[in-house]
Amino acid sequence: MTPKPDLIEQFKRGDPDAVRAVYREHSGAVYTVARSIVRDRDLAADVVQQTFVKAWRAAKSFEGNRQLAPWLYSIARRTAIDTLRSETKPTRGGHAPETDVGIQPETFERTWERFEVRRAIDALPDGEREVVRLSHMEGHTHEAIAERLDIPLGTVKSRSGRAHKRLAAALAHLTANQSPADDVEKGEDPT
Amino acid sequence: MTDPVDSSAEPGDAELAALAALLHRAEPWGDPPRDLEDSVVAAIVTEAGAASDPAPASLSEHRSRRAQSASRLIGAAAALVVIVAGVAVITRGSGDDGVAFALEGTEAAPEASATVNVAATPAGLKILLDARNLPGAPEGYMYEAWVGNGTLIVSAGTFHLRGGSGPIELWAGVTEPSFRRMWITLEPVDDDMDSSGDVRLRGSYDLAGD
Repeated sequence: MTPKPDLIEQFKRGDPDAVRAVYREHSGAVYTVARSIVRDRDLAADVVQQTFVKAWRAAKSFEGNRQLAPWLYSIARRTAIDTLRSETKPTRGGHAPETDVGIQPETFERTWERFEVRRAIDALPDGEREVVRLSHMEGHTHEAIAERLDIPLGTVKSRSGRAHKRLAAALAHLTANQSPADDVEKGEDPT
Repeated sequence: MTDPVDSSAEPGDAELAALAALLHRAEPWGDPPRDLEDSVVAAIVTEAGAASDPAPASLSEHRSRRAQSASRLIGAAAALVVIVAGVAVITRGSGDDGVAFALEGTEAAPEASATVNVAATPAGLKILLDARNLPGAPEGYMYEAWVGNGTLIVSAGTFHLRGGSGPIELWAGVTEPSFRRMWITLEPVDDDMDSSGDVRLRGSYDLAGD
């Protein structure tokens, strides 16, 4: 989806409402990518903050007809890898590195897959997203979800059905093993 | 806005199985800290407001103490913006006892630990550090405390512990709630103003209490 030009222009100016809107739409997906690379919640939160600040600093060069999500993804992945390297690089005096986090980031395709899945989930209506989360993350049956949410079993089934249709449509490019979006610039720092 | 569901596009069993595998593989469920949104907005709005500054500190400079004077200015401006944004947590510490948390020893000091109390005051963060099993810094070295938010890093002061243990009072000139990480490094006493990166204790806190 191409972002609204007004929103991007307001984001470029540092308008608080626009920054908040961009953050709310994409922070979950950015955080998912960050966690998958740095494997630490605090570091991942730092990566999220740096990603949005870097994106804002680089927004002047963002063309309005581009998709915002792949651009943010590229910044997030590069920032996470830089953070990982910074945290694991040999330090002065030859002593142990600052942390023991892993040093082999996931492939571009794998983190892109995580990013896209999270975006698709975040785009679901609240009720459908909660059913999907309880089903796939916590492994609950429809009956258990109905009891937990205190809603009829039929409602759970209908929400689950609708959610899976939406997800299947939104993620068809991944389940069909297609390549990442064309305008994601592999390995290039967009900032 | 959520698009309507196309009822003609019923996913088949194979498609649902592939979707389930994809959701399992992607592990897409975690959320960033709730206060991060305010921190991001404050950081960007602050920098946008400081556009008259021809050379704002770059992210790549954030570990340089030479950049800290600029960082402190940005941090002070950030505090003002946070107030404008309605985040009242930074004033919380002015009249209460702050928050307590623990620092864990790294591989370089696995036996060390510390309890810390951080309180936001009108002058900045007041930090009381009580370290255990952290040996006195060797001659020619000192410990340095740092707080950071992923973009900026601020020194909270130095100490050596060669006179024995006991609570140490440190101060950081920031009152911005995004500063949630604290760590202690061992530093050579020299004219290099950068952090050595030799972390001996680390931990995180949250003045917002989330």
